[in-house]
Amino acid sequence: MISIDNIDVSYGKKKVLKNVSMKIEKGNVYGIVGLNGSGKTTLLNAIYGIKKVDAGTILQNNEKLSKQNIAYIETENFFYSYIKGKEYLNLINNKNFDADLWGKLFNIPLNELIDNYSTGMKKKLSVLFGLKMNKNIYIFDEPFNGLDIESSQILKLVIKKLKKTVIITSHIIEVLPDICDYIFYIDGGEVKRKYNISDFEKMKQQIYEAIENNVSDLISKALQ
Amino acid sequence: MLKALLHIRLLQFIRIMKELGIIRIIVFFVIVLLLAVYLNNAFSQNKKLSILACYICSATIHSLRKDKKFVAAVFEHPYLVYFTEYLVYTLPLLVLIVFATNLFYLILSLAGMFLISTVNMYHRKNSTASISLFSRLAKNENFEWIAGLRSAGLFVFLLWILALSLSFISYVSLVFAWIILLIFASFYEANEPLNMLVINEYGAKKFINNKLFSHMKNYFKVIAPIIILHGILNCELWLLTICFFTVNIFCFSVIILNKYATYKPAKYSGANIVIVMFILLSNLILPLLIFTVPFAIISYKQAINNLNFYLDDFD
Repeated sequence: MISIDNIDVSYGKKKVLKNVSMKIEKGNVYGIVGLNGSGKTTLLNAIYGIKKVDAGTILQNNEKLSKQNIAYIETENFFYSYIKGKEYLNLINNKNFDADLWGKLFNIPLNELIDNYSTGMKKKLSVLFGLKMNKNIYIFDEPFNGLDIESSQILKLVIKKLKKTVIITSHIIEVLPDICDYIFYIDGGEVKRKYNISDFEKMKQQIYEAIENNVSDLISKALQ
Repeated sequence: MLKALLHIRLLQFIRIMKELGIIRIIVFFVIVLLLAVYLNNAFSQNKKLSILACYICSATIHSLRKDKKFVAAVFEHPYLVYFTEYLVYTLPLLVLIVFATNLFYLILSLAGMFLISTVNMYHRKNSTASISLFSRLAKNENFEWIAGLRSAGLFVFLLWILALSLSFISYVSLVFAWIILLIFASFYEANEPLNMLVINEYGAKKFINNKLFSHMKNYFKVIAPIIILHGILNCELWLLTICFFTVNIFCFSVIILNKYATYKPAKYSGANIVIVMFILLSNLILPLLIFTVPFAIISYKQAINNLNFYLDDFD
């Protein structure tokens, strides 16, 4: 189990995460939803250990959570120029991973330069890279960005069948209820609420209502 | 529009200076000052050197710049933009040329710079991009070389053949070897994303040592034939050849160290270009080694410290 206890994270003087606590059980899929700038990526960076926490702890079975156990698929699709998809995947040694089969499943031209890929193809390639790493814990930051309906559906099915601990963020609230066991709602750097599967519909309504309450006056003014 | 671009360049220069930090800026200006004194003497003694310096300067910037596609898209005559920029960048050098030589050398320098501005070096991005003889050296894990050789492999190969063919002329193949180093330096400009860094699950020290060893071994295989042939065909220059070779390989290693000393996942550092240029120059102007050698030691320590943040769990 991963225990995140009372962590604070700042960028300079700005506190981005405030007293965040979570329990992540082995083998479950956890979603993190929140608006842009709510602190989702910062939380993932802190979990992976590339953003230092000001206070609090992140432990796995009472020991420091190690990067050795994690495949982190970041939101940015950054690839080296002049590299082919297959060459990129070949960086990882995993003989059980059939790159061609996965390439076919996700419809990625692995023998072409990544520079020529569409945004969605790049996203799918980075997901494949993470899958080839074959770790116990998967962290996906906005994996559905840029994916078409078919690829989104395939990715959802893959995540469901992974049988690994998965932490996944998305600002597209609609996609997470299909795959998550639990969803944390983050707002202003704080975990506002944890939802179970049975509460997901209620969660969507609450989030939409909160957004509407926040902006309805501004929209009215802007449209005047 | 050109004025706006030059203004952007000024802002970029200020940002790079900020990124370099005060100590490096001081060292930077000391080096520039010493270089100016050295070049002034050198140009007075050998006027042809002034032209060579000007060409090397503009060719270095031209080959390292990453905005060729942008400039080509925005401006109707991109070579005019490049030429204007190089005029501004090499202004101190041009002033030196005027004082140390005469107008004829200035015109020759400008003409060469203009020609360099018209060269569109590695601007292709397609799956049939050139694969050279050296690609065999680029194994799966050597993504810098796979990418670099795919974009500039043919160019490197041509330079390599020219360097070997002209080995009987003193110094010429050494200049080619330096240009090859310059191209290889550009392979290390972009920082890989984090997931590529952690693939081998090495700790920071093992990562750096492994990277240095494997890449230097491959680079040695590329550059050694040129140097050995030059040494054999120019026996009287054996000491200089050995010195050049040693410093050339050393500079290559410092470029790798510098990359990881300032590594940030998937980021590109403008300040690194300035540093790499000085590292490259120390292969041509040996006195600059008094800065490069300590810099290498500092960079090695910095690289380990810096990578420890990302690779601490793999020790």
